[in-house]
Amino acid sequence: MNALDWLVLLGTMLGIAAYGTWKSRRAGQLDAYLRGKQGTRWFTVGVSVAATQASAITFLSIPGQGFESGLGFVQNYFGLPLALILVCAVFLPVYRKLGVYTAYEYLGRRFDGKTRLLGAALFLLQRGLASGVTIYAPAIILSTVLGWPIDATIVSTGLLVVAYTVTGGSVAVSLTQKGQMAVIFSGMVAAFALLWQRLPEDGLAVAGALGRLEAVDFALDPDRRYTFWSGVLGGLFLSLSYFGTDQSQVQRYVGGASLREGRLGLVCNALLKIPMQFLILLLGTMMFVFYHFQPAPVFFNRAEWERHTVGPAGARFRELEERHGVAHAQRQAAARAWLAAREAGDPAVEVPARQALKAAQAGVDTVRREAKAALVVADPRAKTKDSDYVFMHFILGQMPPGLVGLLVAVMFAAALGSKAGELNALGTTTAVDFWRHLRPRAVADEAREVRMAKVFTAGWGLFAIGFALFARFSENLIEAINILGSLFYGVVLGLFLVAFFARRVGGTAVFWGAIAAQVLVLVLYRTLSISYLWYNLIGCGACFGLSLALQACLPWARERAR
Amino acid sequence: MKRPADPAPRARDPDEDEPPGLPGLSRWSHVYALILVVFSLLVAGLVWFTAHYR
Repeated sequence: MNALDWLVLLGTMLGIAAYGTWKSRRAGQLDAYLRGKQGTRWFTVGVSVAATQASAITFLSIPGQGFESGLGFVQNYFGLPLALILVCAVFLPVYRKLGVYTAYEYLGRRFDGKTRLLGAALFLLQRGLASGVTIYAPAIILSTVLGWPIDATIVSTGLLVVAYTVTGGSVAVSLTQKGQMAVIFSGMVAAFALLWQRLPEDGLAVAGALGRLEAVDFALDPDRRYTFWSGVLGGLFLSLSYFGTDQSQVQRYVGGASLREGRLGLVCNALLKIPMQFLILLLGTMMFVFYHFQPAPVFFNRAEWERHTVGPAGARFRELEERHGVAHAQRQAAARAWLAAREAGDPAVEVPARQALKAAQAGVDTVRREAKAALVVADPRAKTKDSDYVFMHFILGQMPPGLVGLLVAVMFAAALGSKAGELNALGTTTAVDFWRHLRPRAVADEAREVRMAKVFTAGWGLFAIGFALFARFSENLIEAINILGSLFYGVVLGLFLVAFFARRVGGTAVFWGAIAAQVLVLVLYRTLSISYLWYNLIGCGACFGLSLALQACLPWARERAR
Repeated sequence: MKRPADPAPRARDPDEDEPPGLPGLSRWSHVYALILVVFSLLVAGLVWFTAHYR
């Protein structure tokens, strides 16, 4: 990065932080700290909900997913609009009517203390672990891009976000998320326009021929990770759990000035989320085509690769680079031949050209697989998933000066926004659902409670930094987050659905039903190979069914339902 | 002495008086229908896109 990039980067980041701190300087009371005094307008609610979900992983890992696997991942979001309708109609009115601080407070009022603590504990466990992943992603990529040591990037990013969240509270989070989203969209639009301009005419057909543009798959195979059915059904339950019961989201829309403002904010997300995710995936697929016609590295995590080219196995790595160069040139020629055949419109030429392109792609894939195997031989702890690095590689290599700084700022802003939302929710849940519950006498001292909420927020920030420093991930990061969520979200959603719709079920039945359902989900995950999205449906269904069964069958569970 | 007039009550969001749950679908049903229509159009568009580039 040159001086102009640094100027843009630092100016953008400092501007966002200063604005949020200045606007939220009076947030002293617990109510304001936690819910922003319920004065947020619909646009801010909508942006805030979107920004909380759109972590830095969204803008790094989803283009990488599009690059590696094509557009099929968009089906993951097919259940989201349906889920948001249910959140608007059922969840939001209940939360507002009862005036609850956290979603789990509702479980306490409907059932009992232990069920509330179980819901909160499942949230804290899942979200706390996910928080370690979301902080790790931008840190490792920025350390690669800027050449900083990974640990230093994790710690500095983590401490910055802790300070920003603890000093500002949720008002600052909401207000600055508008700015962050503006930066994010400017950067993504710039990258999209640049790619579109530099692709050959009808270039997307190259991705189509290689099966990367299959956005919808109606296959009924449960083992396939992303299909229309797993997206609509599993995705519905995943999104319903996330938007309806995850405190990081509930906190955003409960802060709306009225029920109408909260609903409008959610409706915007229901309408815009699928097109947005589609365009980000398409950006990744366009990069896939772009690197057919431009020089591409054999492995996109350059820092990791270059570390080994000068090591004892350097000759093997250089040989792989040469073979990749040859395979890449063959693929480029095959892609040009395929585009020419497509333009000519002669099926007799098109069919063999398509076959040749597929064979050339297989040749590149083989060399890349060998390169990853060589990395593991050289260092068994090496991270061989490089798709998360593709977008940053593109930005650094292809973007004009100034825009590079803007896009790095985008990644930082997204990281700050989502981390702030997550930490705020983790701190709030710990303060309200655990500390206040276990120390009821302390409720009278509101200033002390605000201090404790901040202490817990900082504590979760340090936990996330520690987890990121010591954990190593082998999955694609966006998928790691979704898998983690799917293992816990179904059961949490089941708790809420029992609360809303099974009026006769009491706290003891739902508590043990939820624990049994959670064990079942974890056992099935270890033994089956079905798409992870189905675990949302299984967890929710098992929790609901077991709660009803326990209430009906076991005499000790037949307490009076409230 | 003339008694000061009572301040006019603040307009209340009519949605707040609505019972939560499925009856809550009624006032916003047109908005929810719009979401479903847009979703159907998006899926149809993606199916066309998939078929076009297959």
